[in-house]
Amino acid sequence: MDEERRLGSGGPSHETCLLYAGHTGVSLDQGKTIYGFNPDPPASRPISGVMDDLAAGLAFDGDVRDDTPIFAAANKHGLTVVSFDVLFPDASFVVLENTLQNEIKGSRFRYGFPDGDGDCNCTTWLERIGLPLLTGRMREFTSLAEIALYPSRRFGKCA
Amino acid sequence: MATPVIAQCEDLLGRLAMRYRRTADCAQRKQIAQEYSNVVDQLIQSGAWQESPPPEDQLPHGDMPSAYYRYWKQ
Repeated sequence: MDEERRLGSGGPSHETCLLYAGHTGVSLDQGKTIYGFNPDPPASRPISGVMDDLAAGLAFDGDVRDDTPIFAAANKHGLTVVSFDVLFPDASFVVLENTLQNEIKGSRFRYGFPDGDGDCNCTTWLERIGLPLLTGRMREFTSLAEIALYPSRRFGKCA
Repeated sequence: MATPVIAQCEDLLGRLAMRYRRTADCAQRKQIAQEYSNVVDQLIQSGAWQESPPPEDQLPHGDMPSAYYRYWKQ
């Protein structure tokens, strides 16, 4: 990224950025296809500029992509990939499926870093589309030690 | 694994980055960037800072302390 700042080109690829930053996704077919939420900045904006904009609190249109290759690359590089099943009643699954299909056609969410204008990144997007991430066990919830560090949560202009 | 003190400082960087994004006021941002710089100095002086902050815990390039870049380019 420094090289891109200095020379105006030669920045890291989208894949490299996600492998560095971490990524999340959802699959409805046992992992064959994994969809993830990404920022969709103007094509002319260099990656270093996009990162600066996000760090400054700006948001970009959200874009839901087939990110299966990203997770395959993470496995290939020996990075930790965590997965778990979320079981839905049939009717709720249909709702989630429809929501995801609509998101793939065009996300209604904006991508931003916490407390910026987006407040919706790959992690919080999973919640926004209706995917429960907690089981309901109090012990699991209170084990999220960092929750206590953030006594307030701000929603930006996410949707 | 980070020691508790290092972990606390790393968490603080994340909270400062969030505070920075929450305001558009230049003076406040400058003050937050100064606090951020102090925490970075503390982490560097510990001699045990082993993991650079994730993107969402960083400030825009122009407001990141120069000591940060010197340390991570070593």
